[in-house]
Amino acid sequence: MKQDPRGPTWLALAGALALGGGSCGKKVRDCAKVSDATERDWCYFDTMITYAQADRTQDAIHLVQYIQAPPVRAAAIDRLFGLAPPGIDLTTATALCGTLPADLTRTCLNKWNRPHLWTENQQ
Amino acid sequence: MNPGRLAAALGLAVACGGQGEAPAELRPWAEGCSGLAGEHLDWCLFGNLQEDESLASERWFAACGGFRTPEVRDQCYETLIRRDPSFGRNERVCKSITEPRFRDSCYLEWLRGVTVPSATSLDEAVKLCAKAGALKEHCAVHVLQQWSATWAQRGGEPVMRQDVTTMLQLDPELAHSKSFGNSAGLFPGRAGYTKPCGLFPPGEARASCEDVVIDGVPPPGM
Repeated sequence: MKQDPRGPTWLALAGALALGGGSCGKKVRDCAKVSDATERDWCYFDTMITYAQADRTQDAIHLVQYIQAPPVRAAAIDRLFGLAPPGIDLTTATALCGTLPADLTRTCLNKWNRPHLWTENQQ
Repeated sequence: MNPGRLAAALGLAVACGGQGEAPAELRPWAEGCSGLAGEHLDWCLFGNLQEDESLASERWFAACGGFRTPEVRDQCYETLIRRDPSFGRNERVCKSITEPRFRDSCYLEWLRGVTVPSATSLDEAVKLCAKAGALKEHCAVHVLQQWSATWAQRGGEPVMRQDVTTMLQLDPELAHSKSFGNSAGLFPGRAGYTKPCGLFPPGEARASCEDVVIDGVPPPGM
């Protein structure tokens, strides 16, 4: 199968954006039921951490898309970079950071720089 | 982002406060974080702190000490040294980071910005890089880059080859580092020398050295 040059993670991200997310289990459905927008965002944040820690990077990336408030999403991406560097290449990082307002995007991409080195070291 | 926008984005009202309270050192960055507690509160505070680009390093350092979530505290200290590698207590700051990757990253930033440039010998510089732990090879790249500026005045290509040889002898793991192999192709190539890729054993590092293309043109030795 011919690989997309933008990388498999980018495709997963694009898919999540296009489809409105994937199936991430009961915890995600529980989060969706939370009526308060802020609490719901932090619920997704916590669940995202759980997935990232379980090496379910694609699911974690999906969940970031559910977070509405930019600061919470920025924190989630920051956390994701630290937890799952091997699953996140520059294209994916750029796409993730690009979902933030412009003033947060630069800081976000700077944060990817170091996990990138960690990843390189593991190869 | 200004605190007002942050508050609006988080959809928080002052009335819903009380679940957690920012420690004194972090109160200036607490706007918009009311109602949050634990890790959520720390991430919110850290988000505000990072937006405060003109904040003096001493105040940043004090603020980092207020985070109770180890992950946030580690990132805060690491970000401080990335912002200001010459911060007075830099080595102590790096040493206090608990997560190895952020600690290595902190040391790399300090070494790159302060210590490596002031090293008086190649031997000293390479030995210092050991502090960067798993990221020491990236420190070695900075060392080679720095020393490449002295090759011309010290005797040119033979000196360059000797420097690369010395570094490989001081840290044999560099012979297997793709990053270092790449830099061993890049910096001599940029200086117009034949790349010393033959000093590396066959493998990814040597391939990385050989594959380097300088400004779109294969350097001498390709």
